Amino acid sequence: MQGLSKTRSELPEMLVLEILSKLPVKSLTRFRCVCKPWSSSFQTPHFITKHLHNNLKSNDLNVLLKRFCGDTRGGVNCLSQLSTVKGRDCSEEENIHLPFFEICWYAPVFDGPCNGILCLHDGHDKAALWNPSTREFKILAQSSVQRPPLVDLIALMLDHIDQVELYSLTSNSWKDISFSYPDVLPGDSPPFNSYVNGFYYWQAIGDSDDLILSFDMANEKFSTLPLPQFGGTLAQYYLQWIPWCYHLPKGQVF
Amino acid sequence: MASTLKKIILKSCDGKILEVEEAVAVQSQMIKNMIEDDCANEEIPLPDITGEILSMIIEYCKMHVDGENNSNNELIARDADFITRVDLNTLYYLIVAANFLNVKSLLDLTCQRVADIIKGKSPEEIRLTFNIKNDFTPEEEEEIRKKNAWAFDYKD
Repeated sequence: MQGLSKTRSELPEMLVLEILSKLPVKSLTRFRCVCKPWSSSFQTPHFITKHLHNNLKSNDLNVLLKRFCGDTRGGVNCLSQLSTVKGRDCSEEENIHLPFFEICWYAPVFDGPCNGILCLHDGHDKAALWNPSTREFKILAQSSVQRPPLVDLIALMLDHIDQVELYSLTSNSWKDISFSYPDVLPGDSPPFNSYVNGFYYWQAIGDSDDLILSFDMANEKFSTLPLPQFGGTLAQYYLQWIPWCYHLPKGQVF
Repeated sequence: MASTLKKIILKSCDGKILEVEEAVAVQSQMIKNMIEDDCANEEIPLPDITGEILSMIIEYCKMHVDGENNSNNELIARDADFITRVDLNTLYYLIVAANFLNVKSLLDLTCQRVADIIKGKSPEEIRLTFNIKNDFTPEEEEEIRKKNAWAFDYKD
């Protein structure tokens, strides 16, 4: 470091941030206590986006494993995180403890990831956002809608088919969204990321045909698409977005 | 073919003149823009880049032009070989020059190399490295350390 130390003060801030945006999350979290300007720089949307972009380009892979331990009466979900860093062996962190959710066989349910963030819910009225890389955990405000026990809360938004709510992080609250497809029943959110370019997609059952239901996050509007004419029924298909990139996105959940 | 053999003349801050094939020179977005604007017919002075650093950048750009048909893995191996030969002081000058000349892949490579070197360091070592004054009170720093205790477990 001696050489760099001699000229360090001349390195423009923009280039220092360029270097820092290529650090692993763990180092970056540790360097938050270097100084106040660094700590605040790490939280700007520009830096977060840049860091995420750089991480997606690296060959490092994070896998989250959810497995069921025990029987339906006494069993619980166990979470482990597997990380492979280029040129290193796989490291495993066992039994990640998630606060807030009751320990039971069905919860929490995972949706996402979207930009490295997972949505967790218990299928009833508890929902939270979790960033497995930074360990940040945010419990979402409760919706004012009264739910019967164990109605599926699908991908943050759907409660009953005639009532849809959208959560906003900015206001930490839920709001009603118009849903004008009385005959469309969305299925469970699929076990992979179906959020693409600002739209969330579900497989759905229409009054006569199976179809794809989508929600435009920017304009807060639903729309439907017909399924391709392959024949067969919805149960025979998995809706999946296949990214044409070289690396598996970080934080993918299997 | 004539245009690919055209030479671009670069002049470093210590007076070194380097003739570079256009195909190699356009790896720099800045020089590419100058050629497109018809401003690259005379020698191009580079006031903040020494002859030594400029030669290294040209070596890197040439390696990428020559290796255009190589596999991605071969290019990654060549990049790694190039960058691990560079000491940290030189790395610093390369970052500033790659940024000025706008050679995106070299800027990424050099910044990634510094990131790889500093990633296992403590906050104290980082302050020394970048000559940064700690402006947190001991209480504030302790709070951040407590909240993020997992990140202070130095396994890497």
